[in-house]
Amino acid sequence: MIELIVFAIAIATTVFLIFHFLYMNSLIYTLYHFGLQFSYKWASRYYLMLRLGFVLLGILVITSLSIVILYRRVLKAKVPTVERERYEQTLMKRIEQLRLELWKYKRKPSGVAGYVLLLYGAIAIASSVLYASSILAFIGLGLAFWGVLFLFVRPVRYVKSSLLDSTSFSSLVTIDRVIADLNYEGKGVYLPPRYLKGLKEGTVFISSEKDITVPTIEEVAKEKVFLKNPAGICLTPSGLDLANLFEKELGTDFAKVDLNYLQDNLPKLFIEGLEIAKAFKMNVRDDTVHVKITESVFKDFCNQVRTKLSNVCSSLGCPLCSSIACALARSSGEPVIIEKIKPSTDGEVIEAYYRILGTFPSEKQTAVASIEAPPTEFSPPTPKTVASAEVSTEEVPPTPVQPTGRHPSYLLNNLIGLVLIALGLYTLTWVGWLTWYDITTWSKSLDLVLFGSRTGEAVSLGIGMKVIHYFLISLVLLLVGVFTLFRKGRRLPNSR
Amino acid sequence: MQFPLSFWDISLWLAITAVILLATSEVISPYYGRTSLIIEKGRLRQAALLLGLLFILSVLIRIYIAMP
Repeated sequence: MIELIVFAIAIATTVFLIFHFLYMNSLIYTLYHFGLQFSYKWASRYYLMLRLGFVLLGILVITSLSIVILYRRVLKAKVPTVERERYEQTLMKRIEQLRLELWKYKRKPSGVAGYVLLLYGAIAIASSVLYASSILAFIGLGLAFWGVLFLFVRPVRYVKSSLLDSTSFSSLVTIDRVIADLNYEGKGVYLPPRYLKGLKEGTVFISSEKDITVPTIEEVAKEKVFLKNPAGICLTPSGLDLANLFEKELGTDFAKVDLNYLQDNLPKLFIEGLEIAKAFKMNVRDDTVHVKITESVFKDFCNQVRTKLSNVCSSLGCPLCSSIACALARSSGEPVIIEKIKPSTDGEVIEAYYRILGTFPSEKQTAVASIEAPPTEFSPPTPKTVASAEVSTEEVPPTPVQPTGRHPSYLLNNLIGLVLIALGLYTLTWVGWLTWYDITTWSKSLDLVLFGSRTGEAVSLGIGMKVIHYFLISLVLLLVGVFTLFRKGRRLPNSR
Repeated sequence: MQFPLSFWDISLWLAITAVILLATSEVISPYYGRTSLIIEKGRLRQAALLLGLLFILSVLIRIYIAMP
């Protein structure tokens, strides 16, 4: 790749030199107007040097091209007399070097483009001041602006999704093996923040029995992995950090908002903010939450977890489903389970069903809820039955949550439409004022005002521009603004 | 030596650039389908809105200057 860059620089320099020579040659003709007289004495040497310059440029191009070709041939050439192991080591080193070069090349392409454009823009602006050229000024402004824009909108570091999948799959294999060895059959219960010390922490409890069991706050507060009463294991959910990322992106704590906030903002976060999925729907009904995710970037990983790690999938869920469970537990303030995960046949759509378990008594007693076998199709939630419980007289009051309003970031979505509408209205108002002024002051007819030329008029519209053009521009701006504002409705397709 | 662009020229440039960027940020929105354009779309939208607001500010300045 470096050889190609060097070759490109050589070609660019050659092109500039060609233009430079041609310009110098044209200056000779200008000198004739200043008294220069043709003579073979100077002309022959001059044209000889000019042609020699062009020949040297050609040699430069050929040499650069030859270097690129030879360099690539050397890379492809095999080392005939090296031992097998040394040869493999050399190849591996070369692969690592190339990988590093590729990573460097891909890392900040917009950064290089930004600096280059900024440099050319600065040169053009400086030249515009020197030569008093408005065209150069516009060009310089444009180049400098786009250079700054490329620097400003430089992407974050991107990695291949296969890299992500490979990184996290191994940890889930371990969890799957632990659950299988312990023979724990219970569904994972995602515990809300009131069970935990910090709002950013998370714990999922898997009971040794098939029944859903919620441990007491005191039991969880001991921060042990294996609990005795009830018997089970406390693990960190695989989607915990993802849930924390959701909070960071939305700029809020889920523990301080309600489920309606999640229903309003998670679709925008998934689709637009983090671009996790193509579509996201969330439906909250009583204590059941239905989530439908279309074309998630995690779909292959989820399929892999579902097929190879059945224990993890059935109890904890894949990281994406787990992150949503963490978010639900935090916002509702109640324990949450993943009741069922239902993928589509092609794996493009994932439907997850969550159940909020409601307030359970804590203190010294544990309430046990028995459930029926998971339904194959989604049905209205069955009422919980408490098999046996010694309910404490002191019930734990639910954690008070202060439902917040919608995050003001949703206003940003409407701002584009409003700005376009404002631009359109301003232009339309100005067109209307100009038309009214010409009709009343200069007694012009309407068609003359709209379609007539304004050469020599007090209010000029620019070369070739007429009032009708500005009228059409204002209409376009208005229509685009209205379309932008009302197209999406800013409520994404999450049916209620 | 002075900058060859007047306040009106810069205002016009702001308007055109704002419209271009606003349209671009809308078109590359994920709602139209996931694109392979790897840039910070949120920041692009912020830049577009900033330019739009700057243009509106320049209009207000011109109106203020033109007032008797």
